[in-house]
Amino acid sequence: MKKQVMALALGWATAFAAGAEVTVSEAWVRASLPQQRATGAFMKIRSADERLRLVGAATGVAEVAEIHEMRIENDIVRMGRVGAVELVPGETLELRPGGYHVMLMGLHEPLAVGREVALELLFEGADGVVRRVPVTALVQPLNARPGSHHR
Amino acid sequence: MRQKRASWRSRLACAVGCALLGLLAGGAAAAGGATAAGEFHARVLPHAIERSFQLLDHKGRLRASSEFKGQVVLLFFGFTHCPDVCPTELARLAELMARLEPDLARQVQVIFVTLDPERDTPALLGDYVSAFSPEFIALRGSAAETAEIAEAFRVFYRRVEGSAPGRYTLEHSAYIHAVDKQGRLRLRMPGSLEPGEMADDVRLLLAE
Repeated sequence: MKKQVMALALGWATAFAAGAEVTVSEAWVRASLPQQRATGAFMKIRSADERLRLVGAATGVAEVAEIHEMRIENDIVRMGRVGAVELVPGETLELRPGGYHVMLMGLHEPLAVGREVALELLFEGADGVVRRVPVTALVQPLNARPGSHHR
Repeated sequence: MRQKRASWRSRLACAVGCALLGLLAGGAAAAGGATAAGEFHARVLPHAIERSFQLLDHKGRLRASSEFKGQVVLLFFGFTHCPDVCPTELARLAELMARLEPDLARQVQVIFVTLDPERDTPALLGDYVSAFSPEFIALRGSAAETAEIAEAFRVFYRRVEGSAPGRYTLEHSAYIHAVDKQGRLRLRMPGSLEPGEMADDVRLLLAE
């Protein structure tokens, strides 16, 4: 049990940015099953004082990682890739179920609960230069509900 | 006689008053079935019409809507490659079931209908629904059968091509559909409903 708690704390705390300017926290990935070749990654992103654009993602666990948006319009779930998401300095951008997520498609193998998944987020600054920020996301159960761990 | 009449009058007044109150409480919700519409948290369909289906489940058994008569059936249409809404809705359904009293929960069947039979194999569907509850059933038809059951429940879905073949996603209706004990589609539960509210609605349907 203690070991489990330690692992959880590690997984949630090590989601940090390489540079000082971007902070990524509470990164998690929904577990996947054999034959299920797609899943989503969720996290909180904060830029201290620079206006940045989240323009993409990368990972070794899947063929493709893209920024997708899910929204419900007229009771229909709409999903799709988005080009970029603006980060307002000092405000937290939350990638969460029901909004943005990092869509992982073409998973090389099932992602088991408790595993740590290495991701990179691609941020474009005002200067047009793209920086890669490493993130460690903890795999949460398939039936994890957003925010349910807080209740 | 006089007294009887007065009593009749007061009963009439009450009936009119109650009906007015019911209308007020019901708001814009349409009337449906024997229960006052306002008592349901979910959207009540204007016409309670039986919707029949017959599809194979994740264990390869043929399941027909007729076998669920006497039970309340909660259906959700989705696909397992859905990163977001589908697992959230199934987790909400599992929470709803956990909130129901055990004797009531036995009278409720949750069914996940795949809109993506191409990628959702029976084995994957079995593992998928079991991750939420061993009691849940997954149904899978051919492309034509899928279109047919979606049409019967007025479920919209559309394939959105991705960056490569096999990486498509689906846009689809976001409701949970509630079918009453007579097999009639009665309620549409939007994602904004709390599992406790959905459990209230299920209790009402079971009490009919």
